[in-house]
Amino acid sequence: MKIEEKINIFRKTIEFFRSKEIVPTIEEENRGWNSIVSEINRTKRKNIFSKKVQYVFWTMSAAAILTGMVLLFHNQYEEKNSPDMLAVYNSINKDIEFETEKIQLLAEDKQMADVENNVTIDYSKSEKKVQLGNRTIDKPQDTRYHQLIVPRGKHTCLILSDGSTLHVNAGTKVVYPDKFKKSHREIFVDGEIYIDVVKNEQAPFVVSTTSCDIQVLGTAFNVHAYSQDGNANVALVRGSVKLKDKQDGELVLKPDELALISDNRIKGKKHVNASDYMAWTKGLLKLDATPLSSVFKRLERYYGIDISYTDEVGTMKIYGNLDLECTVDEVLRRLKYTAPINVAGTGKEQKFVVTKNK
Amino acid sequence: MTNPYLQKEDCDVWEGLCEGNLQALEALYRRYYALLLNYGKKCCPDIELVRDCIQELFVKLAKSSRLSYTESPRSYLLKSLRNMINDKQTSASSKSECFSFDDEIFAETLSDDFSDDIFGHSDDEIRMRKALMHAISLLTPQQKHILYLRYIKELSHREVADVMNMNIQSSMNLLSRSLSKLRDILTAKSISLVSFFQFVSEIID
Repeated sequence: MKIEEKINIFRKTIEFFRSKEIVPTIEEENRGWNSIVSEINRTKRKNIFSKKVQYVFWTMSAAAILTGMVLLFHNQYEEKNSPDMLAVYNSINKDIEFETEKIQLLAEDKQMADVENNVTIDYSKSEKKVQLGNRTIDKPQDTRYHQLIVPRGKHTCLILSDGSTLHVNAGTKVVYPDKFKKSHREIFVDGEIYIDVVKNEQAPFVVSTTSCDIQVLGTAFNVHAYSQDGNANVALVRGSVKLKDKQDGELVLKPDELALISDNRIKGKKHVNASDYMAWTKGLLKLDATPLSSVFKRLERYYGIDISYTDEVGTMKIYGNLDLECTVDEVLRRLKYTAPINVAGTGKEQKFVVTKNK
Repeated sequence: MTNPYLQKEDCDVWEGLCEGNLQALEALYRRYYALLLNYGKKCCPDIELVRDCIQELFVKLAKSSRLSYTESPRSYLLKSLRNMINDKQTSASSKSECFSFDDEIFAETLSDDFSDDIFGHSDDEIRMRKALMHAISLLTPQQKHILYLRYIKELSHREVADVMNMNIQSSMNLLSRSLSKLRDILTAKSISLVSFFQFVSEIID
């Protein structure tokens, strides 16, 4: 082999490595730059704010300084005495639960309003009022927490004071502060929600449930954690979350991963199509070898009905999509086409009996 | 509205940055994003982490009130990025050593019909090519690192030394040691390399 040929091979090897380099798209570059700029602006705002506070502090008279200090102490006092949401949940009188048929909004343990099905509850628009669809109601002063109780057969949308949005499924209770603290945001959930958390690095967001805590930055994920069930799961659509169970076991989720929790312990995770797990927010139930027992449990909560079935029926597995935006009679009728079952009963009586088709 | 810094030399852009000019920062970002992305990927396989670090690096540059003069903004960026990535990585293995070409080489050896447009087809060439790739994979991470910076990215000796945190003499020694090691490996495989030093001297200007 001639010398020049050998040199050529070295050159080509270098060329080869260069060709394997990643070439980012202009969109990626722009996206990156935009994030940088918004992050810079965000911290700039913070700095200006703190400068103003200093300025104000130094230019006030002695009396005003005293007032300022009293305010500071007051805030710290507030921060220390605000309860964590799980403790609040445990202390609440559990009897005001899903007895009623209406969605209830409570300030601490006093009723604020009844809410119609599918009306959005918005805390982010005003500090003094809560918007319920078209109407607004006043917020009582100095409440440590509010509750949203969604009984079986109903579902709604809740927007928290920081703008984070929750889709709340049937049979769910959410406990949350009417205004988030500056240092951290925490809510408690018993049931199922799909939440889109607004990013705020100064105040990490935590969703507590009876089986685990989920810590987030800016993300969207589904939490399925009914205290009645033995199992819970969390499906991450985008962003990043860290789960912690009651025994201090931890797990970090990436998008399109599902965490499985059973008996208050994180059991593991698997790769899924996360949007399947929040499809209920769009009125669709996606089934992939799902046993009928799970399906019926979901339908019972979603429609507020009772379904009895034999063990044999419960273990049948089905595939496909169930449209939830129709009556329960219709849904069960469609199930009859997919699985060899007989359904007796009607939506009026809200009781169904399902048996195997011989 | 075009950014005037996009046309300027690195030292002028850096000066603009020290004065707090956002357009200077943007010019720096656009000029070196691809370089930083690829270098970061070599230091750590998690590309999202690399992207996050790049973002953090530029935000930090914008916020920094005392930016000192630097001869090469390019090596400063590379070095800062690597430090940031190493800080964030949780692996127990020696962080400063972590550097891999390995995915490319691995992919290389898997497919026999790679890079048809770059390489030729003669048996000799194929044999030599594979031997060279294999030899590179036998180098230490530090040796791969310096070869990457010098030959693939064509940094000056001074920049290479800066990025690798060495003085110029040490970095030149490391470079020649790496090349010698390659030669030794290839000789052991009985591929004669009389041309080797000729090649080397051609590239080192």
